[in-house]
Amino acid sequence: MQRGAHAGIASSNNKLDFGEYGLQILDRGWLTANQIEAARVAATRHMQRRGQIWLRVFPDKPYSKKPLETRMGKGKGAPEGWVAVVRPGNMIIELSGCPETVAKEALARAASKLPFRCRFLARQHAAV
Amino acid sequence: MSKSLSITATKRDGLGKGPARRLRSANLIPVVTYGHGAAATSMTIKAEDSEQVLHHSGIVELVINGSDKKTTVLKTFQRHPISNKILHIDFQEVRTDEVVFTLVPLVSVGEPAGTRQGGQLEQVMMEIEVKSLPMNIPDVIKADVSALNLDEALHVRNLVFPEGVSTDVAADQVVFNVRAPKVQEVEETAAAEGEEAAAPAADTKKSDAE
Repeated sequence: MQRGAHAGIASSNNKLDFGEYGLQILDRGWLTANQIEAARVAATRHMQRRGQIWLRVFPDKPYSKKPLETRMGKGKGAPEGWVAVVRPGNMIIELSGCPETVAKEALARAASKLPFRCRFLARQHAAV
Repeated sequence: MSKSLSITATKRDGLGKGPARRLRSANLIPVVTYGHGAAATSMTIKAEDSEQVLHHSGIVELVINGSDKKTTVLKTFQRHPISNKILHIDFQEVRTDEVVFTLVPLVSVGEPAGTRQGGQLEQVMMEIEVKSLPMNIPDVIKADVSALNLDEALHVRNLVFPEGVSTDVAADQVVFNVRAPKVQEVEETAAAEGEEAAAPAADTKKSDAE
């Protein structure tokens, strides 16, 4: 399916702005609303409602789909759902208020709900 | 109070992304200095020196082509979002007798009393803008959080700044707080079960869509 190339890397939303820990995406494409919600639920459950979570992407792009077994033509398909366009470097989720081990596991579970490679990031603290 | 750091810099002619990329591949970092009405000067520094600069707050002496000297402070820098390599550094020229505004990291010292009661220390403000003479810029601002109980916060007015350092940040801004653990209630558990039931349904829908 030709749905655009999403060229380049993330020029904004590409660093930790809110939380202590974050999940950064390394591939490009579409994240559906269901995938984003599944990742949020997976991370929140593991954190057992401690700490704070920020979703850094929002599915604001509608996509359409033609019904199955339909011939080509006869106009554009009906809206099917909503997606967020992501590029390498985009932060997907940020966390704070929990120990690093908990954040790592929570974000690993969230990453397992996403169709792209992700990596864990932690804020670098200045030495005392 | 941090010591002055001396870095060797070389003037460069080529501007724009092509020459900058060639410099980076030669293990050099493009930098620029500006301030006090002087024209911006484009230079390069060695990549190994650049990490040193980023971990230093205070005066950076740039020795340009072995003779000329510029007294500067780190203004800002860019990193590659994926490889995390340093792409470019901005230095601001300063006078040693003139107050400058700089961002200094905030760090906590001590274990809050509230964490022993199950709370979690949360850092709301990561850096604070301080004003001081360039030679007085501290490396970090330490905040003693040991007296914080559950649901208590440390504000900007509670910070202790070294001599000659102050801030214009609003005094009532929260720097650290200790969050009390949320108690899971029966209703919340029921809601969570509802979510669990909804999740497989969403998965089924996704596979249908594919």
